[in-house]
Amino acid sequence: MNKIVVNIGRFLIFITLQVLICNYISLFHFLNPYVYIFCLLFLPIEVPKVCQYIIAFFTGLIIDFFALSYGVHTFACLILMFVKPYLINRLNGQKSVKEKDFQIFENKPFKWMLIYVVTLTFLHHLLVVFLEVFSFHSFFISLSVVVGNTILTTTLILAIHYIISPTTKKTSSSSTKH
Amino acid sequence: MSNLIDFLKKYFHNILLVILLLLSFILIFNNSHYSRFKLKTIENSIVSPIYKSWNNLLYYFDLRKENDHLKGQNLLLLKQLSSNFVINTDSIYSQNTPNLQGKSVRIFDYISANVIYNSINKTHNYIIIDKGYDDSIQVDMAVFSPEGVLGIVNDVSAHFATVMSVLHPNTMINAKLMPAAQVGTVSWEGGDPDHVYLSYIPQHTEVNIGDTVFTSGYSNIFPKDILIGFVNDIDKKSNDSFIKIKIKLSVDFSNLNSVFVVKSIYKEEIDQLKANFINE
Repeated sequence: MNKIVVNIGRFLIFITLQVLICNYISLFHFLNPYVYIFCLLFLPIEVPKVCQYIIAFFTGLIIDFFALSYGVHTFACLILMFVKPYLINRLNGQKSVKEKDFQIFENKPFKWMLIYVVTLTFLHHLLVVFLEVFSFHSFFISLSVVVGNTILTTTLILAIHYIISPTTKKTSSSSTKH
Repeated sequence: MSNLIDFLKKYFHNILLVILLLLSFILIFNNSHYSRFKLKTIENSIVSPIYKSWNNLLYYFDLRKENDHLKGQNLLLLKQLSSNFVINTDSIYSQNTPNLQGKSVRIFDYISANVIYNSINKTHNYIIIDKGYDDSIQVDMAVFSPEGVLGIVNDVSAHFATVMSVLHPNTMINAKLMPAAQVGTVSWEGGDPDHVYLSYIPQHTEVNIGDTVFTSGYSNIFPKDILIGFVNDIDKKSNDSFIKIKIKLSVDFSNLNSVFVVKSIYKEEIDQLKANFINE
């Protein structure tokens, strides 16, 4: 129950943050971080898939309304949601995701976190940028935007993650004790 | 039948995903006016009000930039004032040089600057501004703010300049008392940073409290008609041939921000003439 409230609050905060602050950022005139995907990345994996897709759809839709880019973010969010479990499976190796572990993101090493966030962020940004432009005409310019944006968003997301989850150290130390 | 239900249960999320992906694709590629119009109405009723109130808030953060724009615009307008020009039509000189006839010649130019240091409580008060000789500021240029006269440039470095403010015993400004149209000299006598004295006004002049004092324009440092202050008190001694008039400064020296520096283009020429005049 508590987790549900936390996640709903997270969605509200991050969508507000995205719409009211991050959409106004344009670093070097073209970089614009999409921090809102934080709440999609860290949505607990045991939420039913149907719910996950619906959440992703509406999150993208709201962002689209505010960014005046109909459907672009919606599409990217859905794809992100679809890829997410496969990526986690792959990163975890043999271990199955289906073990009901609520703190799936909270005692992972930094490298795991980095690969996870970079991969999904890159995918999301790639889709957003190329669907918005919708041509491969200025391919390398678009790609540089994607890469720049990915670096920016990843930095922000990892920073936020390590700031708002101070329990990381506790859980890791307790797990080493056992 | 049960097979079908099992199938749906197992793959429902995949079906949903495909449906939602199709929906978003429709959103992306549907350019029909009607659907765009419907989306626009949602946008106008929800998104626009949010953006509007948020922008009202953000507006305050841009005030500084906005201010700079306005300062720039003020400077531009100031430069276009007709009192900066001498029109040559009626001078004897211009009759002999037809190419100058009817043309106006600029005699004053302006540079905008900001105050970075200012004192009012010392016996010799100075102002420091953030422009120096790199911005073509020179010694003896006049400085004024939109409210009135501030002082005269005293020392210049590359990026900064010291201004001897009106509140300095050595600052003498040639002033004109209106509406009596008498010319005198404004100087400060220490102490009160709000008041200066206007001297050398003849005894017979009609002065009223509240009369205005402007720069006279005779000194070739200040352009004419820049506000100095208002008559506050009149000291008429019968044995003296001049009246001493106390003036309340129009500028609040405790709160200075953006200023203009006056560049008098023919100052050197006039000064040279004056020097010859003294040598004789």
